[in-house]
Amino acid sequence: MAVKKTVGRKAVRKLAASKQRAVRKQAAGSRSITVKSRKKSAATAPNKRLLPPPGEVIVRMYRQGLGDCFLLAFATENPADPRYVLIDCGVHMRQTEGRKRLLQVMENLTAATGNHLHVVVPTHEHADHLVGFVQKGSPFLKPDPVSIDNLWLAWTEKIGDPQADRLRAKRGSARTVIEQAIKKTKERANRRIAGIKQLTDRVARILEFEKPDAKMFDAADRSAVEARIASLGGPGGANKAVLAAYLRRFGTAPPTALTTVGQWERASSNELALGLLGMLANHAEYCEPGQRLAIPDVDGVRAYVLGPPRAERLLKQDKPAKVRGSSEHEFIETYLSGGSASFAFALSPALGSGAEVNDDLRYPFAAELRRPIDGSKSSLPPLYRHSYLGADSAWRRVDGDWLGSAETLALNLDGDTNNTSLVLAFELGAAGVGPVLLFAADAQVGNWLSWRDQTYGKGGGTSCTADDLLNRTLLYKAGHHGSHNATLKFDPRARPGEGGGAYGLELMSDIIAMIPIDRAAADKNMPTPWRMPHRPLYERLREKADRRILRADGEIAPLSANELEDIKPGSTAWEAVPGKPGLFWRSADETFSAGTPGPLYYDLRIPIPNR
Amino acid sequence: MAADKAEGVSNPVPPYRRLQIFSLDPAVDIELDKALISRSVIQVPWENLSPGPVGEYLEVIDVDPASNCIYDPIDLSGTLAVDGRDPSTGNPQFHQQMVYAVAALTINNFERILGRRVLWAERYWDENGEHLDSFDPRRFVQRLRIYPHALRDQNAYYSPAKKALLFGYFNAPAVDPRQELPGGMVFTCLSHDIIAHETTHAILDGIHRRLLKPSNPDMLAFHEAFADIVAIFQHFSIPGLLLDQIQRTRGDLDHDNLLARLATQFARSTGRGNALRNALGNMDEDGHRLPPDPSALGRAHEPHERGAILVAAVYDAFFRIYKERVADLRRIATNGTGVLPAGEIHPDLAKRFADEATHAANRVLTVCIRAVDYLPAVDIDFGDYLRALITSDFDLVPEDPLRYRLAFIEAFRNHGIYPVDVRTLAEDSLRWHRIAEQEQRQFEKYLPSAGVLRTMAYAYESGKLDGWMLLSESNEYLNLLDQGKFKDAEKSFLRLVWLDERPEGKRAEGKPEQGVDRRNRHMLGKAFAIFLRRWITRRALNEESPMVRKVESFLGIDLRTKGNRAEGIGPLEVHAVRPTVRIVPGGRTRTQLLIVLTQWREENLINAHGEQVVDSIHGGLTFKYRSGCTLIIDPELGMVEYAISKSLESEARKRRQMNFLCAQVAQFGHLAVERLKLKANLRPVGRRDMSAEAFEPLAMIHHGASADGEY
Repeated sequence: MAVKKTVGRKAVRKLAASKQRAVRKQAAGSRSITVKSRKKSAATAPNKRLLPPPGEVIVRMYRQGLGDCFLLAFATENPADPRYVLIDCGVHMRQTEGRKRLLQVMENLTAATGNHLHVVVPTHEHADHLVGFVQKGSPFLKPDPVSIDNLWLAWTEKIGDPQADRLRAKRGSARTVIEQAIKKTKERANRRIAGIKQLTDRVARILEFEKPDAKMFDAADRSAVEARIASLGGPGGANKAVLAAYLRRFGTAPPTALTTVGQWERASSNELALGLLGMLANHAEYCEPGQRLAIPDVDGVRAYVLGPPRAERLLKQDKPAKVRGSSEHEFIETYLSGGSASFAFALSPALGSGAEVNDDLRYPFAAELRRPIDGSKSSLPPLYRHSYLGADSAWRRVDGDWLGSAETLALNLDGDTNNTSLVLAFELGAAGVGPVLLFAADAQVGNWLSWRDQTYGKGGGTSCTADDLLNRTLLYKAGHHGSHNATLKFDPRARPGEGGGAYGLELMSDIIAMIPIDRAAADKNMPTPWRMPHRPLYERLREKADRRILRADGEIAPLSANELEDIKPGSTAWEAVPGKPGLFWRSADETFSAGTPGPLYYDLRIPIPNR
Repeated sequence: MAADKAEGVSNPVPPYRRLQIFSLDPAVDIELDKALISRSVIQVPWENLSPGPVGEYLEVIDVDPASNCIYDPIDLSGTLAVDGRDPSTGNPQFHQQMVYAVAALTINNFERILGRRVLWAERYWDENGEHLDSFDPRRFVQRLRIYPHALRDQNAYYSPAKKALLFGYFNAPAVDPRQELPGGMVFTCLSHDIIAHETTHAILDGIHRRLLKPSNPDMLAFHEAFADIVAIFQHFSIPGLLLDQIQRTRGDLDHDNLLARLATQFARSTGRGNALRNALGNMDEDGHRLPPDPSALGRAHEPHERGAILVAAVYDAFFRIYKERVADLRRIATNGTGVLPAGEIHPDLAKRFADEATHAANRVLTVCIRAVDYLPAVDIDFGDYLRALITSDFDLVPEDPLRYRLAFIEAFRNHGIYPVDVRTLAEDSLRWHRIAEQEQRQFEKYLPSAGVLRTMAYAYESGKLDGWMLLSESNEYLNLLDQGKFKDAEKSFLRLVWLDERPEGKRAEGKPEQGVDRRNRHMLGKAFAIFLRRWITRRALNEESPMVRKVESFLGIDLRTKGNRAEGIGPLEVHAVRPTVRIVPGGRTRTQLLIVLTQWREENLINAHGEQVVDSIHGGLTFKYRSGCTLIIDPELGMVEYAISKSLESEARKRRQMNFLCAQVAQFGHLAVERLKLKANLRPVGRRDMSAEAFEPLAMIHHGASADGEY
């Protein structure tokens, strides 16, 4: 009896669910056909729109987890028509239910903006910043898309810029080398190399910044994006789509750099995302360091471009160089600029990828001295056969150890891409005095250091330095999810007596910090956990922000129970930010349905002073 | 060693094999003004070598997986007349010869100074990652393996898991072409310093394996510093180099010179200046040594960085001794003014300076290596090393007319290195406490008779005794010990040790053939350790006398516990029983017996606020709080001379250790938990996939080490 009853209930529930699905399907279908009705529906939910009070800006930090997505709404003369700036839209594959969470975020995003974005800022080519644009179900792929007025991109994304093309080609060949390394290693895995699987996994995971895994972005998704790009006026096909999209953005003849790279078997999801955005946007702005950008129809606010730098030695620097004597200094910098390129050079012969130079010089010894391993075993010297390959000797073999270099290369590549981050400082109110919202994307050491190489706002009357901007920073979006080398504290180039070396976060005070991090995702053993946020940095951020830290997760397990909790919005209604008169914040009334529950976003309301 | 049997003709065995090497590294070889000193011929003890070279201690296997090839092994068995291959960067056989030669030289230096055979660290896990039983013959690793071209990377390291040295080679990135060919090949296996450094890591790991599981910031740093010290002071024995450098610096060895520089070519080709590390410490623009900053140690955290300070302190001590020794020569040469005239110094004077420098360097290297035997068993810090230096030197040379020991004390003090547990920095209070005669009586009960201790000290050196059999027959005396028949057990033990004749059948069973000499020592050491452990625990178990408490406080060990792993209490472990033989002034030899005892207790990791540290994956963290004692025994009298201990009961030490571990967890998160094993029953790193964990604690360069400017 009891059993029957349960079954009955289940069946009923099932039926209800399928009915609901059908209803939803219908709704979706109708939406996609009738454009007008949908716009109306967005308008009929005005409470979903993000409307800042006059003379204020609202910064919305979405909490999808390990990945960036920030929406800025600037008030205009018309209170019902603010200007929206979207900075990134991505999530890392480590994030539990990341795709679902990001979909929910994007649903909110389109509703909040009435499907119209005035500026989109894809900061750099990493999936945890871009995958949202192209993932399955993304509103950016729908036939009636979000309309985009402007695209702000780093100069490094420009096709046809000789320096950018060269950097892209280098990255491309490094990527090929790493992929080859993984492939070769797997081929040789029959030799039973200790730990080889873990190592290749680890290297592959580093590359995942470059591309999301198949669960998030599979072949079907790829074709969908390609088709979409084609339908927007670009040609179809794997490479052509990207090429065309890039061209649309820039509008010149096919750049040689792109066509000769050759290793591009297929565009990465990040490149597809940029291509798609290029097709969607009316205008693309390639930002140079020091440039000043205006937000259309918004007075008294401007954005300064801090990075990426043009100086390649800084672009390549993901770690601070130790400086001792002045003469050494020179060579250290030179060395860093050559770093990853020479790694790629060094590894390629081993991998048999003779893409660049196919000569003997890349081997340590002349060909007649080398005895290939792959031949028949009996031709090998007895020492090698018995001691190296003999019984009970696998524990001492070194077949996989050299792959540590591939890992270094992968890390370098990752760091290089992070350093191409477009870093923006939004200055509110009067130029040279107003508070600053600093969005550091994933900028690493070299990018940070370069900010000091130019002044800002020359054209607009008052000019200021990077140190000024840091001093006036009110809101700081922490670099690279709070990792150890993406927030600087010290300028190693400054010599003692030249104003001291304190820099970066050390110049900020009394700030509010945002870290797009989910500790649970970073902690995952995939195969190694990440140190995010880096503890010493986090401690210092807490001091600088007086514990006003907004994160995308629950809690970082404190080292001690005595540690005070971070301060964050406690309700869905606006409440004053502690210690910050005039500022208000709130948390979303909507929570995530997948993964860890919690509010969809935090809103922070900031007045734009004396306009 | 056995004679070289070539075609039935028995040649007399030469004492040495002469082999050519690059004196320092190939970078020096392409500079015209150093052409005369760039290559040299060194002498290493003769041994039979098969192609590789493969000898008693070392096997060079030249596989280059990154290039998917191997290089044919060199055969050095008959190269008496020509000193081996000529130095050449383009000939892999020369590379094999050079790594072998320098590693063998380093091993020989240790054997000469410590007076016993070098044994490599044991192997702990089998192919499938199962823990090898303590008596498993596979635990013995006869040869350290050397891979001269294992990596295509700017790195080289000793891998504790593989018991192997891995050397990398790489293309020099764009650097100053005056120093290195941009894009040219740089081989770490052609650097004397890197080879000596890595070999020393391996030797030290064989002596003190606990050093690699750091419990304070000094332990890995000590490993690095010690390896650097050996590499640098070996420079002084390279023919020609010293004399040349004396000429160049006009005898001022505190001026930048090749002797004090470590790994020049490696440093230049990776943009790190003229030396990876320089024993002179900080220098001014002209290459003159600057006075050390005693507070630098407090600011240095990374092992290489901390280690560099210890190296600088030792070099400082060397320089003080050297200066003292040449003061009179200087006065004679300058009519008493002590101020040398400008220009080059007289070749005779340079030669005399060189002699004095050799003498001083030899003394420093000897003291530094000897001190390793005087270190406590666990939780070693730089201050302990200073105390060990002073004590070992005192034991070797009781009179110290030129006050060389003061040179060490002063040099260390100036670098901010001093022990935390002494009253003053005077020599006598720095020396480890020597066990007085009345204290001696307390130990008597817990150690076997002098006869047994003597046997342990001397039998070990006679490599022909059968350690394998002794181990397999150990039940006989262990049973007697269990029955409380201590005298009978001793008799049985002694009889079995010296028993030469055993039934044939029994002999053959499972007995390994190779490496009989050193394998026997390894096995004897094991057998002695088992005997001692059983003896001590049987004697102390369930005792409640004040005597046992006294002994416990000397040893810093809880003798009365049997150990209970479930409750987190470790049993008494006897880690090593080994003799050390040294030549004392007057030419006589003196043998001491070293016994290393350790014990652990699983403790909760408590932070400064008094709460247990919690990790999001592993939950509440714990750690193994280790204590231990190094006993130095005079086997003639069966008397304990020193009991150098780190106590289980020391709350202050526990607090220091927890602070260190907390900081590691804060900085490295789960990685620290896994590497330092901060959880009971955690799968230890290095068990199977050491390479997978990318945890080679002794790499020349640690990728991702934090630097200035970062958090």
